[in-house]
Amino acid sequence: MKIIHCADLHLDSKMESVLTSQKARERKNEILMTFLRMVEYARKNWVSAIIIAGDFFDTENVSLKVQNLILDAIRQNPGISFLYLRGNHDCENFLYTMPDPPENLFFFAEEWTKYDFADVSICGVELTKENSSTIYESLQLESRKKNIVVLHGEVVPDTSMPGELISLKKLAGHDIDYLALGHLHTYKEGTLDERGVYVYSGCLDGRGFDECGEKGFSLIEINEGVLTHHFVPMSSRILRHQIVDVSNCENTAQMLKKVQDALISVDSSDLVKITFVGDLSLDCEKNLDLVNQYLEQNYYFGRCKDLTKTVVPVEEYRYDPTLRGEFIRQVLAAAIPEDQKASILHMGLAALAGEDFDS
Amino acid sequence: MKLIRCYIENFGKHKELEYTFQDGLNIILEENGWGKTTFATFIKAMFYGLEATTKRSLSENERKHYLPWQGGSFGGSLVFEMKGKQYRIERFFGEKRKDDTYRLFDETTGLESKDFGPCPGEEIFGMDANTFEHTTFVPQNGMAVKSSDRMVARLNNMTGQEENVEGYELAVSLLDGHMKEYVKTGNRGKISDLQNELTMVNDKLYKLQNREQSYEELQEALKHVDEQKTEVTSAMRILRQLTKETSEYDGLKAKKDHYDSLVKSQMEAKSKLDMERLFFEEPELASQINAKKRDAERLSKLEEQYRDEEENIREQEYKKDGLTEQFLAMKKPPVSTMILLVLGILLAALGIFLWMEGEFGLYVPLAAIFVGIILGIIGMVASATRNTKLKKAYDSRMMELDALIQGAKQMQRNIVLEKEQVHKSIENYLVHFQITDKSSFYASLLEIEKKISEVSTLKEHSDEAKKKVLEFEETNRQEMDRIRFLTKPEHSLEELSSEEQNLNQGMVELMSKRNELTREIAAIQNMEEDETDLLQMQEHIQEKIAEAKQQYDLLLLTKEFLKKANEQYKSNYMGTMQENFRKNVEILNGAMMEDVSIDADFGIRVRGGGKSYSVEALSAGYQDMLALCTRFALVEAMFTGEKPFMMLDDPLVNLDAEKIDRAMGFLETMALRHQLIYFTCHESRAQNRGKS
Repeated sequence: MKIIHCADLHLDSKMESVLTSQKARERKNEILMTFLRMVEYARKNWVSAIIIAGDFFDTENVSLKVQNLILDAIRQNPGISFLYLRGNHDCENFLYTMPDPPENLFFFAEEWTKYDFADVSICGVELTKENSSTIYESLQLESRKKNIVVLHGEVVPDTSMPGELISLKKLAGHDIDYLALGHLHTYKEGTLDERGVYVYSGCLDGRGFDECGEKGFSLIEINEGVLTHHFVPMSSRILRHQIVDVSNCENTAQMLKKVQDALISVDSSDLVKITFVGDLSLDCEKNLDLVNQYLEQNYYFGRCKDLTKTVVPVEEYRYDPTLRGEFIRQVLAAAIPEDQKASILHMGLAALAGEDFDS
Repeated sequence: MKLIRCYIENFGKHKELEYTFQDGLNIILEENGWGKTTFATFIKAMFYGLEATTKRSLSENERKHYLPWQGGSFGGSLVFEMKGKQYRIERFFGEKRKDDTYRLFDETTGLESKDFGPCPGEEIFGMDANTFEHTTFVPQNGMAVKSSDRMVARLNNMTGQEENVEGYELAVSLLDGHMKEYVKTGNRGKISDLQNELTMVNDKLYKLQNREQSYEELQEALKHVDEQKTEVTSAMRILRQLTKETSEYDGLKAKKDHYDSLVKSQMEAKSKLDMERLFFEEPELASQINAKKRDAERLSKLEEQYRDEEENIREQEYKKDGLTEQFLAMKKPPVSTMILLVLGILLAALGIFLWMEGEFGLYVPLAAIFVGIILGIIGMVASATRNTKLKKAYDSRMMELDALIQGAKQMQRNIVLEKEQVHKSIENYLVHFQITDKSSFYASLLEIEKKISEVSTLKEHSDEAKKKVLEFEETNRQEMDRIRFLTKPEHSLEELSSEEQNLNQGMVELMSKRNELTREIAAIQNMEEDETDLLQMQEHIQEKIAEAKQQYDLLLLTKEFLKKANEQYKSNYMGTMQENFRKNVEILNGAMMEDVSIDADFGIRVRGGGKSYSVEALSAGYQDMLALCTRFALVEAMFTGEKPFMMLDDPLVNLDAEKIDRAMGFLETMALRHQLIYFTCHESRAQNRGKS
């Protein structure tokens, strides 16, 4: 038997704000298509069930277009059971409020709800403040079966704190073979106890640069009484965040070279964010617009952020009688944030030199 | 440095002009139009060359302006001394800069020198041609000093390569250019554009979030409108039909009337026929009628017989009456009998009377009475005997008559019986025909016979009427339903027309509503952006606005810092400038002028009455004098080491004699520090001065 464990899809929700409107819209549609591709994968690979461990959506107002696509995908695959456990971002969305949900769509509740598939039992509960401490005692599983438990929240080794935290310690020893978790947007797995493991499938496709790296789902396979799992990448694009140290670069070309080196293995279909760090001299010719343009032209989306520090040899300019020297002294002496000083110096000196600058 | 001599081969109007300069004040006294400016420009051109420009106007294109009128080599040479060494510049100009030639010689050795490049002026004076022109060359009516970056740089003792020259104003211009990208007048610029974009997104979002009706409600509303449209369409269809019918009503009415009459006729005929044929269409009816007619005839005969008997009886009765009368008449006592009777009565009465009177005794009355009674009895007996005979005869006859009467009555009874039978028979028969009038059976039977014959007539009539009806129906087949069920229109054509207009108006409104709903639905369906997209866009634009504002603020801050730095920078040399200026004014005026000063832009300010005025408040003469002081102050501040020569194109033209004298004295003082070349066409300037 094959089961897909996915989570944190956040379909039809906002993307990283730095994306242009068009790109944001494209990404939103791509993420929706990723879900549909996952369903298609499930169909082609004879997957019996798809577990959505929370945060399927994060808005009540799911657009009509998305609603129809989701429902169509579920209904068109009657042989696949969709088991949906709501997460902390899920609301009373259309799947819960519609009068006649698809027959192959199953829900969990605030008490343990179990669905049996031959020798496999899939059990889940929606964590609340009220039940977060009582769920452990009420969890009853048959040891002879392969038990998959579904939860959404943050795991902690142990907790006595109230809240929607999941205590691994308290779950250990409950004959759990696979703890299907949602909440973390990055794939992560660990040992639960002698019998079972816990797995965060991560999100299906990244929406922002806080969700970098390969994304997908966990495919659980039960063959002859043995449960295994592995990660299946499914995201349409990968988000990459590279920190590039451009210390001692004297011009944009040199900075660009470092960017190219950092992105050498990155696919052009990916989204990249570059953060420049390091120390730059006052005279460094720095054109971030050019860098952004390079990134935009070579990748699906690219943006750079400048967190470099401008090194001003204060002593050098202390007695500089030129207007430039006077200007630098004025700026350095001003009570303004350092990053503003750097920007002002960069622009002012370029202007004094009669050179254009990016603004 | 100082000028030694120059040779103009051809430059403007000057041809083969040689001039040797002296130290100090050199006054060149020439007429107006001699070419003083040309001469000054030649000097400048030797040091800087002629600018490369494509400008066509002579005033803007020095090359064209000074192209020798007379032709020949365009250029000349200039010998100058710099740090104790003499150099000779030989420069000739072509039509284009690339055709120019430049050679620098060590005047002492005669060998070419590489001490200065092709633009020795910049190296010697540390300024470009423009600055040179505005400092060392003092034109006639342009003595006011205009500050330039290079001047300021120079004032701040900045020497060096071209690329090190400070460009405050260019920098400000660049910053302004960038700032304008963000904020432009007329509510334009990047920030404004973004805000407009945000407003649009907010509007869309607002509409989406606050749309009066949800998608489903809009669909429902559309459905409702469609239903209403259908109703209106149906109503219009009915109305049109009504209108048609109403307009056709009169014609149809006539037809209906006709049809109704035909139907009525047909029905009447049929009804009559049915009624009659019910009784009068039996096949043996005729023979039955004949039989009954015979019965009726019999009845008549019986009646006749009865009447005869009746007559007979009446006759017998009459006879009896006659007999009775006769008997009674005969029965009347004859007169004699009557007289006897009367006498008897009278006598009796007399007897009674006499008895009562008692006068005649008893016997007389009694005799009277007795006689009377006897008479009476005799009369009565006689009468009685007669009567008895009469009666006997009477009775006998009466009995005969009675027997006849009885016989007749019996006959009548028989007749009645028979009549009753026949009557009953006929009556019973006639009852079937619902003829209860017994007054004349024969007539009734004749009537029946008549009816029998009428039945066939009625049948013909009925068939005829039916045929007419069918013909009518055939002819008006398509309209028959309408004709049959024609009702008077409830409304007039005018009312219907008015109603149609109302319906049309209603339909127009519904269509408009439908279009509006359809547009709203389409807007939702076709909306590229849903709420999430719009929220995304909103956030994105807000961030961009914040970034733009931040960047604009940074640019503004940069500009402010630059301005501050520039002011500070200028103030560095202002002290020297002010001091030099005051000294020069003192020299010129012969005394300190506390109420004049210059500012960082070399503008001359005059104080009076506690206020500061521009120098333009003074007379032209004073302005020129103060401008001269500024010039020299500037040159002295700019050239702290090697002092350059200065060329003055009669800057004292506006001065009166007294001021000229003072000014000339000032110039002579200045000439002790600077080599001055003074151009004038006025003798007064040259008197007793270093004229040439």
